[in-house]
Amino acid sequence: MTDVLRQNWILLRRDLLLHWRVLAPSALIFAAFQAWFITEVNRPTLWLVFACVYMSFLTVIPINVDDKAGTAAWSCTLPVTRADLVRGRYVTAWAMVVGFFAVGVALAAYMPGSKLSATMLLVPDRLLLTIGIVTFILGLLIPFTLQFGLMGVMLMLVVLQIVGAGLFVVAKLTGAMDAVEGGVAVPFRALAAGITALREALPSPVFQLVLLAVLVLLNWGSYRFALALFRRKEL
Amino acid sequence: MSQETNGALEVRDLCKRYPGFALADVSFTVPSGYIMGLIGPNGAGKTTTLKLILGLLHRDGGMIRALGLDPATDGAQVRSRIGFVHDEPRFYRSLTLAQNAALVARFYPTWDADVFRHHADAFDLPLAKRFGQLSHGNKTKFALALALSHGAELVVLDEPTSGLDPVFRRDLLDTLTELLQDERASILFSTHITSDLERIADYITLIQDGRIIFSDSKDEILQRWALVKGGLDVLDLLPPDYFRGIHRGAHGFEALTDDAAAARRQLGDSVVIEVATLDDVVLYTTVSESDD
Repeated sequence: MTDVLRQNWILLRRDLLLHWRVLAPSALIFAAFQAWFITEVNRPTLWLVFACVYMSFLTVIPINVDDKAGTAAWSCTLPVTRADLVRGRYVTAWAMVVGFFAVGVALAAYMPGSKLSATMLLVPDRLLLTIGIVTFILGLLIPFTLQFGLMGVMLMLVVLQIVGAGLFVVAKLTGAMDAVEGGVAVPFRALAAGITALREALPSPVFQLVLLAVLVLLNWGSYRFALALFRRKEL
Repeated sequence: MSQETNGALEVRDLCKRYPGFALADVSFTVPSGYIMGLIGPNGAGKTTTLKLILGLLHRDGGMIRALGLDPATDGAQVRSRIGFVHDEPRFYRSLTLAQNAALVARFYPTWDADVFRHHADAFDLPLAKRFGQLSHGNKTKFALALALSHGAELVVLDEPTSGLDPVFRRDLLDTLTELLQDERASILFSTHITSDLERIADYITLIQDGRIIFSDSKDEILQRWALVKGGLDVLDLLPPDYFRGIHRGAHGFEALTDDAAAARRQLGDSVVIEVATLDDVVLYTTVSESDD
């Protein structure tokens, strides 16, 4: 266990050291945007969604460290296992998210004129929402980047934009906008309905614990999947 | 799980298949405290073999024991005791050499900062310069300084002397020889510059088209293999597979034999028999027959 923590700490420090020139300005931009947002908008849930998406996608920078530097093979000659390297990605990504979230909460709490407060954000439901969104994004992003690299992520974003825009144009031209909107919303509505049903079936603290356990399991599943992909890689 | 082996590195029947290329039944042993040179033409399978030893590739068959451990199952433990230099060293381009070294040092509990400084001084490395600004030669020197600074018991070098000037190549070979003086470290050194190996290697393994041609002590090889020169009339009397490689000229031939004693006995004074260099061995075994 001590070895695992030591390796994680070494890898985290490496990732932060390598990217502080990018992460420091990103943190400043994030803080400036948050400062504007919390003084203008009194929507804590909306704030959380924006912050989570921003924070989660920013982790793509350090988790692609070896892909960008061409050092993937060299990293695997270090006295670490491939599991250490994959776990390092998750630790770095979550450490970044926690760091950025702390900045956001501190701004909400102490920024003069803030329409939000720390107590609005640090309630179990909103914390679970935060963990849920971050889990969803990182759970897909990390295995994807390990398999396809930074270029793969870029390509995916471009393809998603083209597909989204194309779908919109086709829906507009064919007058099928309602059907497309309904189709896109189906999985999200189903997820929301499932969570609501679970909440109604369980007392609040139990529901929160179950949801937390599910999110932890999803992270674990994503990690195991990413590890299986990375173990198969030949470098 | 530790296991007794005959050497610092033991490779048995190693196989790796790719479309169009296969490493087949590769076997050799690097005895503890010795230098083995892994030679062969480009694309012979040298780098693939080294990557399999490091666990960067997955083997399709065979066995590897590095320092008594299997890199496939005890990779991190094996690699903590191995110093490796890649043929194209890659570190973090935006960091200085000192920063890169500090980063690498954290991974090795046995890291010796004084030894690193000693090598950095000896190799004249600009520690304040960014890795991305270095020449290929300096990148290799830096990778070597790192590989030699954590008390590695097995040093694996993939073409470390290519791209280096002759003076540094000589210094490097001296450094490797010094490393062996305590007889603790063993070295596996892949190269196509065979003159380097003639200076320092104790054992030579020749690999070609993914197969081992021979793996033996250098002295034994240089004693056993020889260049035979004679007239074309002599060649006509011999079976076609008598030599390992033949070069025919207008008036005579030059050929390589892997049994100098038998050639002396059988061909007598009809030919001239000379000591073959490693270069000759690689050249003639790579191109089995050629004409002027």
